[in-house]
Amino acid sequence: MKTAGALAIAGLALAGFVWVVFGWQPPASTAPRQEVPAPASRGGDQVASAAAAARYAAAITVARNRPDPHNPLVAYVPKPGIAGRDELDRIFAQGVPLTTQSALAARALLQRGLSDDEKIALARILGRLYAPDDPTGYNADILLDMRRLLGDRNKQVARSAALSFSRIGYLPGSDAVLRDAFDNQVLGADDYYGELAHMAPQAPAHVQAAMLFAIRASSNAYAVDILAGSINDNSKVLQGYSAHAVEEIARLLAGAEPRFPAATGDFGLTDAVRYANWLRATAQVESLAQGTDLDAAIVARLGMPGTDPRKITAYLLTPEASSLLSTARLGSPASGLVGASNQYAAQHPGNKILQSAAQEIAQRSARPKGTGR
Amino acid sequence: MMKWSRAPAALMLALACATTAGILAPNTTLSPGQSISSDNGRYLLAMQGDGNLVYYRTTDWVPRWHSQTYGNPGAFAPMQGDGNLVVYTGTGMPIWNSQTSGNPGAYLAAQDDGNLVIYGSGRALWNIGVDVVTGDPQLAGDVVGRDLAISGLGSLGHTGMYDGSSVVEVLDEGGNAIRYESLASFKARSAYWGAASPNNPNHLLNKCFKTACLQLADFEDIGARMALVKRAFQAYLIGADYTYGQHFTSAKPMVWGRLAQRGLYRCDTFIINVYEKTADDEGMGSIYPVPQLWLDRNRDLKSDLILPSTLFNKMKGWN
Repeated sequence: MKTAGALAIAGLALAGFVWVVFGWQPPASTAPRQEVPAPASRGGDQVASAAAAARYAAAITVARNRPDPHNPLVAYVPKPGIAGRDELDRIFAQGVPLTTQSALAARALLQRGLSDDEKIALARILGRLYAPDDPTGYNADILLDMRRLLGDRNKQVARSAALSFSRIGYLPGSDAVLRDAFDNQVLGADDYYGELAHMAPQAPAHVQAAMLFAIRASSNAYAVDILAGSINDNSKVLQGYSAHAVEEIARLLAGAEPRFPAATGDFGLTDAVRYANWLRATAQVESLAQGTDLDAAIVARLGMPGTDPRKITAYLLTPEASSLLSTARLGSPASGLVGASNQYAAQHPGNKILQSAAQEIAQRSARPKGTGR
Repeated sequence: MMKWSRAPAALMLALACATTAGILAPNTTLSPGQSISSDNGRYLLAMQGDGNLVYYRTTDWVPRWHSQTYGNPGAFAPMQGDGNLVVYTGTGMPIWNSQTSGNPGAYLAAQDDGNLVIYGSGRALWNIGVDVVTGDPQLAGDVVGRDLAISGLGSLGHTGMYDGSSVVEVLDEGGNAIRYESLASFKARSAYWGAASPNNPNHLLNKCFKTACLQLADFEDIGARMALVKRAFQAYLIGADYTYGQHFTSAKPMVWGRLAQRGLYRCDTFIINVYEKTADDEGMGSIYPVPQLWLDRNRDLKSDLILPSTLFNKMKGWN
């Protein structure tokens, strides 16, 4: 574990250096990743390097001199315990300006020594002060401050720092930092695997596969929810994964089908959304791997004998099912699904949520595509 | 076609005469006109003459569940020896079954809590769920309340939001502050206050409830009730931490140039944030008009000192 930690620190230091000198921006979306220029090749160009450093120095000077007279962090007077945490949370909620003064004030507060409660809140603020374009001019120092808080003996402080660090995006060594935090019981299972699921789309191919394997081995349902949600949200996410990683995702989803409660009349809308996310994500992975039609794969799965009608209702409630509903003809597989969903709702006449769901599905069945809810 | 009706008094009187103990044992049959009732007499399962197997709540004769097999006079329902409860037509054609075969010895029980259960090998193989009781939420988005489980501070309260099955809430118990638990578990933690059903107009919205909102297609047309559920789930997936104060930070999805940002909530401010997504949405507005009363009510939630108890009481008044 010490090796992992050392690697992570080295990775962070390298990332901070690369970030500062080359203005490298982490991928900020789930769109296909742009290849990051290799530092070594660019580092070889000493002229370009010097120019970049000069631009950085100039930017820092501008940032430092930018007026920021009412900075809430500068005005903050430390208060030990909950009162201080509450005050810093208020400042955080109202928004800390992304200025050099904010970074200097946050760093000064840390160096001055704060209570554990205040450090929990300040770790969140530090995370928000870090931004790809380095508006404060202190990205590298903020990273190091967060790293220090990650090692705090108070686990709540360390957790807050780990989560803030995780949300700045993938950096070389980020996975090892999170793993350390998990091994040291700073992060719980949902925290850790959840962050891996959030981070995986931004990570390089070899790291992605390891992250996904870890999630699959853990059977962590929260991470599956996040992954399924992200794939369902944007099928292009899959294009950002390597073929090996997509296979890993397929295995992961196949072993993690969400379940509805045992009581047949129990139809929670969150369960419905969770199932529909999983179903579409699974179908998207299948579709990518086998070239099959997405809707056909979903209809075939839901049309299998003995399918829990709640699964059908859950899918028919999604906006993606609108086209299916609007083209459902008598005797078609789609109309069979509508029939099964209607029958299920009818069997539970006292369940207002089911009646409302049935009404919604009926309205959408009767309406041509693209004409509102 | 009878299907089920609210007050078939004469029929029910006749059925009541045929009522046995609240169990349908293996290899016994409910023939047309026969029934079983729960021990407390509040629930009754009747094999109706029209072929429908119906489970009634006898206080108001509202059906809790039925097999939807009406239009088959003479149908009967055996609890088969293989564990399957089946409705057959008078000519012996199966028209509904519980899909519980392979469990010899299983039996059906009409329970005092309104549940209808098939038990086999000591576990429930099939059940419809317990009946709602006074104070239970019934609509997605209903807000439930209970005492704060801290000695001396109970009246400050704790609130959560019902989704039709579970309660989503913010708790200071480590890990993701946004949690889901069953309604029964929520009610069992401390003195339960009941539910506030805030008369949601279920107006049309166009919002993004994904964890990444990167393009126009990520925004969907959605009713306000479902929007509450999806917003809560979106925030849950993004993650949130607990704060003691009434200032909250919204859990934000990924957009271009910014990764998803964790939220910072207390139990009451989480509900305010979820609800405001169906109202002024932190100034984002909606392409569809939002009812003025809904906007005003949601603004009022944030107008003065926020506490779970005040939130709950205000929402109770939204008739």
